[in-house]
Amino acid sequence: MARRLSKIPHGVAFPSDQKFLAAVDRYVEQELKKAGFGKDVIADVAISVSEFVNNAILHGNRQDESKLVRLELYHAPGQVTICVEDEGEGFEPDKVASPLEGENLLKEVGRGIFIAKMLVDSVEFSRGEKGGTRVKLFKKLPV
Amino acid sequence: MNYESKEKEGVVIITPKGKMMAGPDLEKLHDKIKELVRIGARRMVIDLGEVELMDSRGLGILVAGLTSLRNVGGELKLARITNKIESLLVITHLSKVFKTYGSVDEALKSFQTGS
Ligand SMILES: Nc1ncnc2c1ncn2[C@@H]1O[C@H](COP(=O)(O)OP(=O)(O)OP(=O)(O)O)[C@@H](O)[C@H]1O
Ligand SMILES: [Mg+2]
Repeated sequence: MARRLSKIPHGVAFPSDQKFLAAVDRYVEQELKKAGFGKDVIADVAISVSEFVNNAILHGNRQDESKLVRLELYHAPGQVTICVEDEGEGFEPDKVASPLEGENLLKEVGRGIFIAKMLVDSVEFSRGEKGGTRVKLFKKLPV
Repeated sequence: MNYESKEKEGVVIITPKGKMMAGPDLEKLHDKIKELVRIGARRMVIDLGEVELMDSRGLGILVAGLTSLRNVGGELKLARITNKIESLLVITHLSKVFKTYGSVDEALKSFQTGS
């Protein structure tokens, strides 16, 4: 099912519903393909972006469809930067528990940020203008 | 993504195809696994040979399936994991939690021999 993403400068915006995840994934893959990235790098970035977009929808905007998620994508030769911003209340990323420890290992949730960080070169969290979460991820092509 | 499911030798075999990534389709698979356990399935093989990509939600569903089956004395095993999924299991330390097999047949056989 095709879901409409609205164009914004350098990216797209969409309401906070998981039904947009597939369209966001297609958008990111298309842009990275156009930029000449290989299949494996595209897969890693796509998973990482999907983790942050899903968190923005579920935890940031709490699936309130009147709140938007914004995704911006910037690429230069051999590298890409993607920002995902929500309209939530923000959180403290340093306080997120390790998914590897104790009973967390067998929990159904809690691995998203951990996995996303492993797949790209850097992840930075900050606050958007209205206090929501802004995540900036950076990936360079392997040499 | 979509999936197929069948039964062989008293074992449910589920074959997801495409991207096991968060979204409504993946939740359908989660519902299916929960329903199978509810109606009495105890032995399950998830055949991952046709899964292109997996994210934390995909992993979460596998872990949820595993724990819900073990809670009722059952077991969930993985077959045909690709290199990408293997490394995902390794970094999340789930490789020591799941039993994995090179083929669906080997996974089925392990249920008979208890290995
Ligand atoms: N954009 C966000 N706004 C507010 N809280 C967030 C945001 N992103 C993450 N969090 C918090 O950080 C926690 C960890 O996120 P993470 O993605 O690692 O795991 P999860 O989303 O709970 O489970 P999953 O393994 O399915 O991703 C979340 O449970 C949530 O409390
Ligand atoms: Mg998450």
